[in-house]
Amino acid sequence: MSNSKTAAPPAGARKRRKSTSAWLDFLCVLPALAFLLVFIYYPIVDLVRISFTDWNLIKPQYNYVGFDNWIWLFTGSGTKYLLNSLKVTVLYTAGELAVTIIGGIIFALIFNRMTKFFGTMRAIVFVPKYVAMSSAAVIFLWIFNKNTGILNHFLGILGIAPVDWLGDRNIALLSVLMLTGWRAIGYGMMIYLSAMMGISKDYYEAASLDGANAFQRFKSITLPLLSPTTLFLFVTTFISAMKVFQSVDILTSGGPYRSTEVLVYLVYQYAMRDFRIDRAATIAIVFFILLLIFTAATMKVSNKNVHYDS
Amino acid sequence: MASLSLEHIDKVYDNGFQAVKDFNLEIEDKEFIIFVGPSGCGKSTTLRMIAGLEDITSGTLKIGDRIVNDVEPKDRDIAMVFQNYALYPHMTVYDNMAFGLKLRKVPKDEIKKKVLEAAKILDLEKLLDRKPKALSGGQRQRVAMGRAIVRNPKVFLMDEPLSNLDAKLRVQMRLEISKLHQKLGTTIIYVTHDQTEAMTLGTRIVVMKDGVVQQVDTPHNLYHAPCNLFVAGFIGSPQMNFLDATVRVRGKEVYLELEGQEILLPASKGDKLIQGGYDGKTVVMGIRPEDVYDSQLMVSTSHAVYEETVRVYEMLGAEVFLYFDFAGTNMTARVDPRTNVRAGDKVKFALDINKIHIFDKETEATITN
Repeated sequence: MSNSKTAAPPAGARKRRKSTSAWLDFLCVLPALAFLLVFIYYPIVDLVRISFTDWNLIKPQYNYVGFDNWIWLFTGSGTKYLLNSLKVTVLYTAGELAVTIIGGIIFALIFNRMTKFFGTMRAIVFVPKYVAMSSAAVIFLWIFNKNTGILNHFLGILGIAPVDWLGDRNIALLSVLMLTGWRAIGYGMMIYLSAMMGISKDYYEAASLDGANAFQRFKSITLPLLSPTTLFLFVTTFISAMKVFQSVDILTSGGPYRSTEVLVYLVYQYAMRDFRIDRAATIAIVFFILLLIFTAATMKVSNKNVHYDS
Repeated sequence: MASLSLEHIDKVYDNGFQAVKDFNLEIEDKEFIIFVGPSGCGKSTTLRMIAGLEDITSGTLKIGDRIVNDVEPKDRDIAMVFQNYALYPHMTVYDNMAFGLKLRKVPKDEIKKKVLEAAKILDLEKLLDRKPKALSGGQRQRVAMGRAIVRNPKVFLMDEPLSNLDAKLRVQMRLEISKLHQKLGTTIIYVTHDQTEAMTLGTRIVVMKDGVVQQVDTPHNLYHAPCNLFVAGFIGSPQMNFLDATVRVRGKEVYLELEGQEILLPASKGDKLIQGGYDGKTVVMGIRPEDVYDSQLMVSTSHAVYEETVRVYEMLGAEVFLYFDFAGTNMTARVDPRTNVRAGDKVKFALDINKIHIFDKETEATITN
């Protein structure tokens, strides 16, 4: 009997094969990388460049003006609009987060039963997510109409005076939130429902035997085990809420009295109404940095508080 | 500690499927009861009814003197170890063990004392700060047991607690559970489909099939005096050999006709066949593999000797299994590992007639036990 051994290839050949494979890998990701560079990273870098110019769409040329736009934004007349927009955006984002996460969880708990009736109810709650925001906003324009809207019609039946849903600066943001909340709550519910179904029944049974009542089971089992889902919903809703535009544009155009002027709308106003691309770019950079910081902070905090099922 | 009483317990699901049929059992305080049976026999359902995790369709369940049919699981004073342990993944080992006590508003100092005590018993002291995902299967199993024992319940329920462990760890944990029972002296009801666990752990075993209790007995009696074909076949590994044989009564002597040879039965077994009117009828003869011999001594003294060709030889170290075809069935013999017999050899086998079991072919009930 003879013992046959396969000789290992020489080190040089191994290294060559490895480097060829690395080049092949790189070639495969090159199209995606090129797309990212051209359409994502280059515009971000260019935005920084634009913020140091006086580019507006009226003049054919632009000049580099140093920190003029940044000084305008942080010490000049731009500050109050930025702060107002920040406040509106934070309020709106908090509202949408609350509706998506708290509303989503409540609806998921209510509809977490696999019967035909609850299936229909789930579909009804989720369907608004499929309605295009522009179409939904037009419908809500009518719903919120002070004189002919159905909302005020029902309030009238209850003997309540008509409310100027979109014209009152104290209520307008809430009205925008009602539209986005109507669309978001079903989405939150569906995401939570799928997560709840993934929690092993054994945990609840073990908790029941340990002496937990329904609320304690929810608090000690459901909520912690939903934390990865909550983190996902928090980050995605946070980013999308911070970027809200369409509903504000159609329902209120940022008004009345800038009470619904969110950050993206402010950028849009400067770029498309005032044609001040330079100022819009400056605000956009601030917005980008804020998003980046908040998302990074969220991820850091979540490392400690998000529990993944083993 | 407590006794349990299950009287005429039935479980019928909404779709009409009856999982448990007329289950009756009295469990004494400190007993280690095993529910054993194949998948779908209703053993886990019965355990879950005792836990309060399944409703009882009809019948009465008592823990101690109290009827607990409608009592919430948390108020039954029982603890359960689940098949997949069900350790809360977001809690540390300490918190997992302390959770039940916290909910019962036990003072913090006392919780700490109890958890540390349980951790010491189960050798978990160094793992108290870890989360379940950082534990091995055996450690998780011990935490699950710890969570149960800190509460000092009246009854422990264990639902196949060792089935997720590898063979070596299973043997080790089996011993741990046995020691724990001796130490705590609590009533334990243990569900398994592993007959080795059942035989080694239980003071009494409940064998179930299709929701019906087949036999409730000690491991020794189940093995040596099974009440029917199912129990005889289910308990013991390799399983009992079953052969069709015809009863021949000649005066006071009773023979079993097997493969053209008549085997004289011991009087104790023969009398029962006469009393049952089995003369001329076909019965099922059962013989355990260890009662089939290839040794020269047994072959020369036995009057039930057959010659067959060995199909398969299996060496297990301390024993050897020989497989061969006999009387239209596959026979297994468990023989001395020093045997010279190998696959393909023509060998004489002796059956130990004193150890055979005889069952009614129709009812499958035992005739001789």
